[in-house]
Amino acid sequence: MRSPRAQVSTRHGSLYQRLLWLYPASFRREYGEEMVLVFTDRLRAEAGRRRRAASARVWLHTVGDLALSVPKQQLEAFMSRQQTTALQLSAVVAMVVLTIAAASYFAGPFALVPFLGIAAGSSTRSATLSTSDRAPARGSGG
Amino acid sequence: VPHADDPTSFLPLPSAPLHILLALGEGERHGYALMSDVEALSDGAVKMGPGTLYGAIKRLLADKLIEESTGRADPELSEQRRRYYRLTSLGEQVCAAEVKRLSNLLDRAGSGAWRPGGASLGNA
Repeated sequence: MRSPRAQVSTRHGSLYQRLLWLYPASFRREYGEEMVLVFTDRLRAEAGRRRRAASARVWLHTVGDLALSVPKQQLEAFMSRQQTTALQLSAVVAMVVLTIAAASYFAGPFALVPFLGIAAGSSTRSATLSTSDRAPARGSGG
Repeated sequence: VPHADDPTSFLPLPSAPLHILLALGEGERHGYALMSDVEALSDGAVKMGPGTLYGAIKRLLADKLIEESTGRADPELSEQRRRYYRLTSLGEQVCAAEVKRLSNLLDRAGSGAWRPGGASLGNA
């Protein structure tokens, strides 16, 4: 039988696993399982102290991580023409708008700078990937 | 465009990939160990969530700066099998080049070249 601490982290882990739906399917398939493991490891490590406060802190950090990394991965998937459903795209757009609105409210207009950076970085990156996909294999290590 | 023949073509590295490469410089790591080491390495300034961590790992794998090693469980955490990552030779070169670039930058900042007026950090 599982310990109460393990049950708690399993419950949080299941919720986090559901949220992974926001990521592109290919990213989820490749890294989803590992991401849940990392999330539950962090919860267990933090839960040594006051458990509720620790969970809240981990979730707060995780929501911030989702708000930044989901749009980035979706944009990369979109630029490389992978499948993104309309519902996923709507959820991501809503998340981006809410995050930007919240960031602007609390930190002012300069809060937009990281988002513009992510958008620029992702488009440059996708363009680079598309070019290298077309180019013959090069470099060391296969 | 980054090119494997020229490690400097990958520079400058964004914060997350740089910290991951630095952490892997001490040996292969799985995801959670990487996340913890990056936090320790940066004195808590860089805290990566799973999405940022694996987004950076995906990119580093695509650029062949890191590679997967044999997957196995970490007895200190759980019995679940984990993926481990390690630096490639190219990754070591790119990391060294970035550290050298940052070191040069700090030297210049320290010597006063960072401000038009010529005031150095030590004088500020």
